Amino acid sequence: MSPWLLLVAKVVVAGVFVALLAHLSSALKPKMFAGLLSGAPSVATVSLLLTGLQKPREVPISGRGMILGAAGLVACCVAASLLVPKLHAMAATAVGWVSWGIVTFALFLLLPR
Amino acid sequence: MTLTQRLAAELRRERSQPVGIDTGKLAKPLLAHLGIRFVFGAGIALAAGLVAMRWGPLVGGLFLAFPAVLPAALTLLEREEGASKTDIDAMGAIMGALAMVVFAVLVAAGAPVLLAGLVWMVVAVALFYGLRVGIRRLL
Repeated sequence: MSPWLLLVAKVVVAGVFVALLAHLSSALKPKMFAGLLSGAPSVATVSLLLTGLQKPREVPISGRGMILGAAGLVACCVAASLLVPKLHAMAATAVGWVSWGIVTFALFLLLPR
Repeated sequence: MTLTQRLAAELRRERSQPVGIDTGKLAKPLLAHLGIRFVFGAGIALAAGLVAMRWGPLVGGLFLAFPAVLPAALTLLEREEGASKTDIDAMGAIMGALAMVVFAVLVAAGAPVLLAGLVWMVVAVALFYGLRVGIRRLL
């Protein structure tokens, strides 16, 4: 399979998986339990499974990068939960994305590779 | 009301609301909502894939944990149920994200992806019940 075809497969399958997971989350109650799925490794699971079919050696390396991204995700969720009562959800999420970027790339630059 | 007070109020409400699923809502997905969520998921997968192709799997891996589900979940929840539930949903996401760190550590150590996904589920649910029981005792 060509790298571009693999990318298209990842994009389509990840999009469908995220849509289904988010729909499941919207039907779960209580809301704090439903929120767990917002931190689920949905894109990661699909991407890593498909990468593993063609380049299995790259999967643990992606996992190492993902540890830093997941630390950024924790920061994003903390920022969003604190800001969402004060701002609209979209604005709080935008600040959360910035928090994700700062934490993830700071760790990436600071930690030895 | 502070976040702690809202959390306490939500946990008091949860005592009468066990974990469950609204099957009516599950059976009637709105295509527009599914479309928004698809775009977020597909967009992040595209970004992660392109970054990995250009800068390698380590940098691409960073984007595998990009907050893809959270924006659509919070925006749609705010529209449907008002702002009061969104911070509680985001608090749940913190526990999901903490469990994602465990998922990533396992994958980095060479564990099968599906096993790591299963461990994610167990850790996330354990954190949810742990917080629920812990805070209930403090209230």
